[in-house]
Amino acid sequence: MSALASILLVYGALALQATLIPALGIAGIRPDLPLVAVTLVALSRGAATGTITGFLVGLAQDLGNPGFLGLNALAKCLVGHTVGTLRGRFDAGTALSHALVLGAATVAHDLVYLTIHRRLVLSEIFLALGTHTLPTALYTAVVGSLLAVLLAALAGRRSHRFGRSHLANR
Amino acid sequence: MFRILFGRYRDRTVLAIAVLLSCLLLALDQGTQAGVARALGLSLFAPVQVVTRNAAETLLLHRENEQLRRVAATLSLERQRLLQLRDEAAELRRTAGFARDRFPYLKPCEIIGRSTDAFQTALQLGCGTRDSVIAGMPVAAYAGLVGRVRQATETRALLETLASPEVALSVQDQRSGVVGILRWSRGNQFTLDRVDAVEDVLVGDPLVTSGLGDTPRGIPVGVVTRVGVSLDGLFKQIDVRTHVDFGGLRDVFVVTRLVPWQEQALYRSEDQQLLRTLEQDAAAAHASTRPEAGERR
Repeated sequence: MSALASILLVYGALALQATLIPALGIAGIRPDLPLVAVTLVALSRGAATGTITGFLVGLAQDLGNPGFLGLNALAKCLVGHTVGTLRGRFDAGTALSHALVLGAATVAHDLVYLTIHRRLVLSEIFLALGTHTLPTALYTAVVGSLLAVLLAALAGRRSHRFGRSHLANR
Repeated sequence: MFRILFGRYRDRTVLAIAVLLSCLLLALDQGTQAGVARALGLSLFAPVQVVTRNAAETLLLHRENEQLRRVAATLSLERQRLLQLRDEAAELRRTAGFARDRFPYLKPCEIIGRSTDAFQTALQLGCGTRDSVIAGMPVAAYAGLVGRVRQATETRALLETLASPEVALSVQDQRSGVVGILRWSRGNQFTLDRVDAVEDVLVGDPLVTSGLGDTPRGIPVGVVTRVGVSLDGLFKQIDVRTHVDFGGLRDVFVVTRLVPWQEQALYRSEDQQLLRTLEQDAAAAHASTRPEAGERR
């Protein structure tokens, strides 16, 4: 994925999250498109770019909630770094692997976010993880993997790989 | 040194800088955080905010206009009935020696910024102290209560939604009068705490603000969706769905003060003219839907 495509993906994700995604909510659960964008960029371009993208996307989201300025930036830069670092260890070319990575990224992100946001109140953290994060992870995984397939089709390739695949490199 | 950090250990160096910056931002006091967010919003992230705001307005404007026209006509008819009930209630309160009932005076405010993360706990409003908006004021939408003003500058205010852990709201079952504390669970799902197991709360009961605390009483909040009993059998476990979907809000109304429940106090002169026009339109629409005497036969 080129730098321009990454920027467009991030812009599009932020715009859609503020416009279309609220209408797609199911019982208050919505997919997290900015996190999908960070994960796909990290898979495609590596840990350093993933970290910077996560930080900037998170900071853009934090502007709407200055009471916790830096919280989304922290959670998303950690996700960007982790996904970018681990991208060589799995086959990132299939929709299923994208879904698994996106689900895990959502849980990891919310774990960091909720730990600070809920001020280490474990009952609230686990309640939110169970009732909010897990359905969000599932929804994000489904929407994110569909988005990855769509981006692959737009790129004009049969199998667009966001990330290195040790299986493909054999 | 620089070459080693950004060459051999580039990934870790970038991560350390990003984590350090995030922690520094989190450690700032609230006033400075608001200032930094405003500065970033006006400079580095201005294109993002322009794109998101304009896209949202274009998509929602048409649908909202349709909805508002229908709601306005219905409200106008409903208002006529409520005015009769208001006069009766005022007479009863006067006879019983109670204080006169008061009504929230609403200041409309546009939402100019929102957190796009999954936990929608704060919204930015395009009005501030110059519009008589100050910290602590309750904020409502058409459907019900949204939250309260957390901070206000001259031109902007930060709205803390009911989903924020900082907001503890006392609400009342409109049917039985039982009072409890509303706590966020997920999305627009909440729980009603501190309700004894013997209290009378049923699924479908509407909840309104109790008036205990800074929020005036009677503002709709939500509806009870499930009632159970805690494991120790002492308290009820009550699930609540708020009327307001915090993610879909575009305009809200700040309760700037309480005024006597009279037309002259609630509406400006141009508003009263608009009210007359709406009433005439609603009456005409109502008359046109009534069957003629011949048709009834």
